[in-house]
Amino acid sequence: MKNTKLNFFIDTTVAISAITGRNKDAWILLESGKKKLVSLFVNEFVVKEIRRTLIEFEFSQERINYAIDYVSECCTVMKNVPKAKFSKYAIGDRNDIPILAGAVQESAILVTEDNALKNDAKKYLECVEPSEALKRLSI
Amino acid sequence: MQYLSETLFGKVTKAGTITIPKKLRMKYHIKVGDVVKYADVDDGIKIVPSELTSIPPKIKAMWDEADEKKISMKEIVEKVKKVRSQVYNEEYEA
Repeated sequence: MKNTKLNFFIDTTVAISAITGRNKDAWILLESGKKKLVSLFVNEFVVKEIRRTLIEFEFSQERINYAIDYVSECCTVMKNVPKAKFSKYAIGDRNDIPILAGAVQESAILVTEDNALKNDAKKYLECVEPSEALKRLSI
Repeated sequence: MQYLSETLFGKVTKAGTITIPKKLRMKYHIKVGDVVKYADVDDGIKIVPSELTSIPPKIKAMWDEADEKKISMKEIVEKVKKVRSQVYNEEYEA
């Protein structure tokens, strides 16, 4: 079902769970973006995190490069939000602000597997897990 | 297209679930965990294997590698948290 009204911002946890097959809903969500059924966004910060996290899990460089290409095919990669815009966000972990601010900038629903971020982000935008995102899309 | 000659039946449970007969699952390569689409058509409900479930081979290879490494969701969240701190410092504190 085509749904062009909803924008989703994909947290690194969701991208990694899709790429490693730990959460099939996350993967279906990314595939939906690839097939242009929905608009998915990440930013350069997320892309860098994906690369670093896959290195931590000791995937080969070839597979990491493929994974980055795959995510870039599924999602629109946005520029990072400048730090000057971070001051309005008061959340538990300041390191999460680039993700939160990226989602707010795109007027998107944040999709994450991280419960702490999910609870923090709720003050500023809608935040869901991949399964909930699929429900919104009727997939 | 070769159609099955017999008519197959399924029973709806209290929860509203039905079992797709094995012969049809095999014919249409529907596996556990696959997603199917329900289409509301003139004479009933059509069940279509979703195109979203065809996994690119290179992605499948990464899933298999993650299985071998026993990567869990908890581990993913923890690793991302660790990496996030480093990336934040590089991008915004350097």
